[in-house]
Amino acid sequence: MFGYQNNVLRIKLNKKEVSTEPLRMDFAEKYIGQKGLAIRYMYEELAPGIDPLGPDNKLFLTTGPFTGTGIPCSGKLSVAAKSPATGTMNDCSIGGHTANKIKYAGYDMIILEDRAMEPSIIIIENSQTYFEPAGDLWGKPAHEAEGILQNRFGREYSFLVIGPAGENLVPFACINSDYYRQAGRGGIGTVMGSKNIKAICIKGTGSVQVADIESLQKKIIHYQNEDVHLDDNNFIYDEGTPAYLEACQDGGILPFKNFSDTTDPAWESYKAEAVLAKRVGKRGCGSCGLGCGNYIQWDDAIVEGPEYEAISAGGPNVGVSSPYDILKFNQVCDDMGLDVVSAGDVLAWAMEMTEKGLHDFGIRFGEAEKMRSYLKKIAYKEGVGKDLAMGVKALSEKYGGQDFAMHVKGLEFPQYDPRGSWGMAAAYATSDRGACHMRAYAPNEEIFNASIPPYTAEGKGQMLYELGESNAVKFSLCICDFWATITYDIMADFMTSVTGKSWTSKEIAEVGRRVLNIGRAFNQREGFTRKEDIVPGRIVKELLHSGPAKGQRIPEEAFQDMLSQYYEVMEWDDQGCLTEELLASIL
Amino acid sequence: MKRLKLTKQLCIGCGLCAQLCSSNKEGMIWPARARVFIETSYEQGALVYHDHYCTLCGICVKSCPEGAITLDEYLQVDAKKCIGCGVCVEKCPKDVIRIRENLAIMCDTCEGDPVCVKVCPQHALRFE
Repeated sequence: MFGYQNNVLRIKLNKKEVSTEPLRMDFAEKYIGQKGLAIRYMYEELAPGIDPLGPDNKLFLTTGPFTGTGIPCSGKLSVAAKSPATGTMNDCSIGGHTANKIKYAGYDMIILEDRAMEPSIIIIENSQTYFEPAGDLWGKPAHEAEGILQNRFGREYSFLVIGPAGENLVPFACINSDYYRQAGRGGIGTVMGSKNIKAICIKGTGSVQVADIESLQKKIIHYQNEDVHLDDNNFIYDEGTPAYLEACQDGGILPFKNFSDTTDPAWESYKAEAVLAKRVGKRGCGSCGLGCGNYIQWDDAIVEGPEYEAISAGGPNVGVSSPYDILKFNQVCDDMGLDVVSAGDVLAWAMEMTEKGLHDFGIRFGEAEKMRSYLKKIAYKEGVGKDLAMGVKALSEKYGGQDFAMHVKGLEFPQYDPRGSWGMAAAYATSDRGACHMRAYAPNEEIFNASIPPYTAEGKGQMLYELGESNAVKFSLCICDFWATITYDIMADFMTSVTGKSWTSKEIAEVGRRVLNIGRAFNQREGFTRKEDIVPGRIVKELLHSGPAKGQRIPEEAFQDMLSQYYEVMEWDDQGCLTEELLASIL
Repeated sequence: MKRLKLTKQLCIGCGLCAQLCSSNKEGMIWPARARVFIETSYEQGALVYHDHYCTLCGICVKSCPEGAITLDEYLQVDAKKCIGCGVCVEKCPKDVIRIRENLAIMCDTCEGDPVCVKVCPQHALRFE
């Protein structure tokens, strides 16, 4: 089919064996690419019960039919594996230019199997793949390592790099690319570290063929000018995700001091204008017309970011309000190869434990400088960092404080408190990889668009389904989250020009539903059911103290009601499981 | 005469210019074979702009030993005269000319209607 390279690069790391094989087009027809295709491959190739950090886990780098075509906002790469943090499937999306390079190198997908015998780097130059010992790169912070690789290989290459946290198997380690872009969540960098791979260096100078290049070119220019730059999308260029800060404060969903409240009196000190005061440039991913990246230099704090998640996780949720400290938090996390969300939540939990006298981790809210040293201790598993590197689930099982250990299935909460946006509780609980805001982004409807009341269970099952279906298919195409106004009609229009097969918006929607199902099916096979679709006690027991959501908690009955509604819409049974017939229909 | 002009500060390094250039000229998306190479990168803590595009300076016209290149609103290469010697490649100050199959390949601003400008999302590239 046009739009694909019909080529998968499979690398058996233990034997340094490299082979290519045709893409499973039967999978691609049902799941298109990226997220959906990666999960379908994982369902096929990862046996139930495997150790996520053992040789049987595999790392899947997956592009899609839009990758490299110039379709706007199509530059992201799916990086997927079974998660060491949750035991569920995990697919991450990373920006930068790596996805295009992989496609131009001639591959739809790269699969890393087993484990290299020694710390190594992989070099992929179009049809050639070879290996080198990681040597001195092993142990180096991610930015320094990428700088060394860039000096050696040049800017024709893109790099996927882990930091010390990935090497040391911290279960919330990320993968960096283009220095400042991350596949962040669920320990995807940990899996790369477990395979003894410090970096993957990719050069691709080939082409992508589509079915109808003339119509595609017209559509790209048309939608670029008529849809991509609508005001609903353009804020992401003007301010980027820091714009969410004010919306979340005003909406009563901004986490404050380990989710103990949802407004911060000091929020104006790190609002978008304050953080962006030292912006020196803008940068987007490959093929992206929006350019969300804010390149900021604030003394020695240099980041592309900080994104909303990093501002919140390194700001209000740990009692910090200085923009410089937030930027440094972001920078140190990236450099150490730690996911900002989980790392921030781990520190926030440790601070609350210390302040409540439950266990002295030696760090309290607001201690920004100490946070930076703690992040390094976590990445290198030194001293107190050895404990904190477990993540809040395992930590709270060891030390207590489970009611305020903010995670689902072992994945720490993103920076939206569900008590101010009830649907988010069910979204976190039912997401395919634990607490994730990228699956069904409830605040968009409950708070920002105010299309449905936030403090009720009513209508939330259908809402979650519609939001989830849309993102599932977007991320399978792959279209970035930030092209918010893209419709199924536009997706179908592009698919028709790229693949040569006529697509309808109904078929696009069906792919989204299938992707939601295959993710659930993977986790179901690992033993996950309704009993794991839970949120921490704080969300159901503790009332919020301030802001528009003051007095809110989510009663258990309301939470269970949302789950039941969602299962019903998905045609799952009352335990949240796919029936055999449903499973058979999606494979 | 209209020329391509780039406002670097507006460029977000998306590479759509090269993708659409190649799709227009090669019939497939092949940025390595584009006639415009504008991108950005982070290098040692700095955001660096790489701006290889034709400014219609005319140096290639003057330097061509065979008189194969003409400039009248846009550049044209006479395939019968061009011997692929590569002098134009060496002389081009913006490094945007390539030799393929003994023929100089250069930007003709899509015959005065450049697709790279049409797709440039932040209007960093203009034709004026």
